[in-house]
Amino acid sequence: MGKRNRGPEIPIGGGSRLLTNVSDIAATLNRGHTAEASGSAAAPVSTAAAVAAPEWVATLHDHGPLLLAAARAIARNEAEAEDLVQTTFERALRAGPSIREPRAIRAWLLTVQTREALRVVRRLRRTMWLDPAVHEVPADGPDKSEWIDLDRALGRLSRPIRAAVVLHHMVGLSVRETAEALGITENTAKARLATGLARLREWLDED
Amino acid sequence: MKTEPTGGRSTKPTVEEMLARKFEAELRVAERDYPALGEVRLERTANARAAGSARPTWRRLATAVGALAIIATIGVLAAALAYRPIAGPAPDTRGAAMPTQIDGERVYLVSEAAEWQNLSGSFLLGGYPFRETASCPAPSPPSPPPAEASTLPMCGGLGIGPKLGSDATTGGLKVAYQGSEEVLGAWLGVPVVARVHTHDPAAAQCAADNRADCQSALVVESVVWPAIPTDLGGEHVYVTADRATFPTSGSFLLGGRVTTPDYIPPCPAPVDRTAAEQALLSYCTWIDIGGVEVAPMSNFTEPMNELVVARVHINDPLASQCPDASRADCRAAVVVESVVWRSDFLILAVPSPTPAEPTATPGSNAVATAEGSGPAQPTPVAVVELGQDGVPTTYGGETVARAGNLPAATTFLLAGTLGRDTGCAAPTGLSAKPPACGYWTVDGLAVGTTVELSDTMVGSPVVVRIQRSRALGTCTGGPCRTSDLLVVSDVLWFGAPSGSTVPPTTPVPEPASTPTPAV
Repeated sequence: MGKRNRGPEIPIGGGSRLLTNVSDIAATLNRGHTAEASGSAAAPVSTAAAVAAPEWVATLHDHGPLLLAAARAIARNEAEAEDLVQTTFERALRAGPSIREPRAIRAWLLTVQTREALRVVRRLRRTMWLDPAVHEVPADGPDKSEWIDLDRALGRLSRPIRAAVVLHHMVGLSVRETAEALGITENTAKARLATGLARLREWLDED
Repeated sequence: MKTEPTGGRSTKPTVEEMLARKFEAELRVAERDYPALGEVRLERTANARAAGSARPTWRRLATAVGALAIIATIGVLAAALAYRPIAGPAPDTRGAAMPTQIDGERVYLVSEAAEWQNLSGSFLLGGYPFRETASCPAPSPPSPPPAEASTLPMCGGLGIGPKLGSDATTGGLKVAYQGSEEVLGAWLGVPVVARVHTHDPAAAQCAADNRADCQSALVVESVVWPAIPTDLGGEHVYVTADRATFPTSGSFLLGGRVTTPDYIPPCPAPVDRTAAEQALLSYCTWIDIGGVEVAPMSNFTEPMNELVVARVHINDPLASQCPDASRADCRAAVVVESVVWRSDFLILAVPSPTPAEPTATPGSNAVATAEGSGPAQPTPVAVVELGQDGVPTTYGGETVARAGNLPAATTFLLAGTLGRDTGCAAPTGLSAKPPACGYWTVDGLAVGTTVELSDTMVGSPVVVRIQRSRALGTCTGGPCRTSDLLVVSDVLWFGAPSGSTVPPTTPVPEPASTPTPAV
């Protein structure tokens, strides 16, 4: 596969330790030590991204609200949404500013976040998960009954289908970008979008 | 925004409109909630840490972003004081998800040929691999292969393009490669940085006619980015090429890019397979890691294009329950136990906006619209002028060639009647060797094709884009000559067959798809 030429990676897998604050991350990067991943192989970490450009941090910061809104829409759980945004930032900080085209950055971040959201589902399969399902209804938003009905209908969609609907119809990614984000083909993405819309129409009509 | 197809504007918003409005409102809430960087949040973060927050919170997130900004500033100052080359890819400043340098070595782009074509030794080239999926009307390649085989790009081979979707007709460069074509072929459609060289020593062995081309051809040695680690925590990471040496007992690490099928059909459990076979042998869809298929029973649900290292094993105990006929396959099945590494360099091939390919309607100014979501974009119209014989003489203002006046250019437009070389039967079966006939013809010239052509188009006048290519000819000793080939890379226009009452032509909706005449 050729010689190793890459930036730092996040060790993952069972038992691995998430680096949840930047002090840990930066210290690890700067030491160039191997990140610990108890019980699993560890990914050696280079110093490539130890010096993150302030502009990159600012760019990530600019995307924060969008990521939070999308995470809330997909996860429908405040704590999980916050975790998703944080994980996305961590991964982006490690990857460094390898994408400069604004639209590509947005799609890249949403891809990282969505894939993590879908992984979370898999991790939680065997976990009792209490979804408070309490969502704020903005005072200046659409009609409240419409909002509640739509929110309830979105919640009935499976997460993969909801993620497709959120990314395409709410965030505004193209079908191709949505497919990329979900790690599926465009045709599969179109099928999920069609399914999602059909179900939403059906459920909203019921209401 | 779409409207309900009710024949008139409905007062009730569509679901799409409701979703968009909902997200606008949620975004405003998120903008309110998302904390700005500042002293207050850092202080809150410190308090939260002191209180021992049990789960990630905004305070910790604020710490992450805010503290990084501080560290970044310190880092920039430190770097200014004592610059040293960094290891690993450096960010791209040219707008693509491509490193500008790796370990201090510049990464050239395909479009920078003027700068790299005369370099001596190897260098790094970034781009998007593509395969020229051509039907190549050529004799069987000789064995052993001559120098041309490893130093000249051949019909149906691989190339590196400047952007996703590029091919040899749109700025991409066809390449030769050393060793297995999977070195580059495993990365089709995603950005890579490859170590390449020109002026390969073997070029001296090429036939005199080909020597200059052999010397200038790009030869791919390896892909250096994105890269899978060669070891993790001291444990070797196997890749596809190591298949013969996979450990037969215990688990091991396997790395590569995740690929999933383009289409997943409904897959009822096969009645003729045992449970053990169904668990170990893919029977409907295939998911692989770097080209190594993973067993259905695997604990593996990674999405397409992730770069991963997984802990896997072969010789699963379940293999003993497979029937004799399939036991060997069952034993060789690779079962994923867990994913232990995932690259941060998530492959995301977001295409750059490109002008739409002109579509054409003879004698009309019809405007085609782009398919897909979002507002329809008007597509430029290419006007076609027809000659006396009903074959276009120009396409979009560009002169089209005929069989009698082929230009020497690498790519050009060719017009004429589409036909089949019927001097002998068309090849049948995948193992059939390409015969000297049975292939497509345009204006009487035998052509290969990278796009699907339909027998229903035979007899129709067409305008196609031709890409010159080549194939190795059979040789019986001595330098081996190559055959020049004309390969159809795009069908831009086609008309009704001569003598038909069908009104001529319709715009070709998608260049890569099979055009269908209007009826």
